[in-house]
Amino acid sequence: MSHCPQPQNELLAIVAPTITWVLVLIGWIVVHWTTARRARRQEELGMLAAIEKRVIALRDLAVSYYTSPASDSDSGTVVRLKLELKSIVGSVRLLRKRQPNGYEVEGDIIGLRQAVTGGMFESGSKVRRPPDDEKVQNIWSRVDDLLQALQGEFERVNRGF
Amino acid sequence: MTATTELSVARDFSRFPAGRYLTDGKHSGERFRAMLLPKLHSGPVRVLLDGTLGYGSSFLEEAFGGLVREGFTVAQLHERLTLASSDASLVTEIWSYIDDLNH
Repeated sequence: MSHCPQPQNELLAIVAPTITWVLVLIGWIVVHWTTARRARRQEELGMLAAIEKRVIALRDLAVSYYTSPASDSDSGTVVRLKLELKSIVGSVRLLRKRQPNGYEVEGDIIGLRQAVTGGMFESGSKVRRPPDDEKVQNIWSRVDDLLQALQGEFERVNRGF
Repeated sequence: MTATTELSVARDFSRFPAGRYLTDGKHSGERFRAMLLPKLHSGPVRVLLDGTLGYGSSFLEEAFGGLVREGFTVAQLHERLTLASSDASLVTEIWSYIDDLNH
């Protein structure tokens, strides 16, 4: 007696491998997307760490500048401070290129620049300030503000990973 | 209509703008303002900020905030002054010095 396959079984025989391949493809896309996102997150973390290092170096240099008496090395220090600020701004701009909807920290950048280079910066009448001087404390605060803002933005744009 | 004058800080003033007052050096904000003022009286000016070593807020405040202290109104400055920089925060900061003097 001959056995004829049911039409339903034939359909399943055709569709099943296709479903398997679709599932494999979806799985591959999900894994690829997750891996790429993790790699991007790691790169951003590295960039943030580099910025944080620069910001802290800037803070230390600025505090040292304001708490020291006027000296011949001041002109070199102000150049370094301005170059560091430029470099930090450039690094944040790179982060924003990667994440156009994130790292909007312009206000904190301006606050930091004002704290470090405002008032009588680059003036011949520079006076040595005590470590608890308002100007020095303001530099610390603005540095903290910027670092917190960057960290907050990182967590926001990478939420869920 | 008067043509816009273009003024590059790096090219026409100094690559090393520094300090607030004339007594702080020959590339201070006060000196730059003295250069900018007659141009602004003549018509619109576009200031190019790129190409320098960097700016201190003291320079920026004196150079641009000082325009209001010299008699320009904030409205006049918004009409005549254009700022261009690859660092948008510089432009925002400068306008804050001008706009804050409105109050």
